[in-house]
Amino acid sequence: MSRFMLCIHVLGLLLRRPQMLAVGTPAPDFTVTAHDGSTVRLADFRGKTVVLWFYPKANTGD
Amino acid sequence: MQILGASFDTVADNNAFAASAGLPFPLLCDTDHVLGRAYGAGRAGFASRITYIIDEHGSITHTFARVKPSTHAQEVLACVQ
Repeated sequence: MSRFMLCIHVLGLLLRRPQMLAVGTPAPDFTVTAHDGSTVRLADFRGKTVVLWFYPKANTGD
Repeated sequence: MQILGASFDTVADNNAFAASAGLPFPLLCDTDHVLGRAYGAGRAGFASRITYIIDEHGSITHTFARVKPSTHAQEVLACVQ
């Protein structure tokens, strides 16, 4: 691989952003520990609208 | 409606966040990035600032890829009300 191609490849890896799920797809189920130590399963909220909000860091006002 | 916050922070960090900000909903501590990978929010470092709205049947109905913290609550509420 030429040096140029290697640079392009590395740049692509650095810029690659995770792909979000599309509207209309089933939300993957999960089981995760919450801040209070309880276990939260997405399936437990079937029948309710769920807002799943990702934020980068606790206590940053975001 | 149920709000779920999610980040890669530990239980201790998110517990402090919930207490200081007075958040009345669960903050999910995705320290293994399982949720991050499944939802395209990242696989290391910090989670992306993204939001999903999931309907009562478990289907994704809205996605927010570029979240502005100052106006995001109103934006989301407009979709679920």
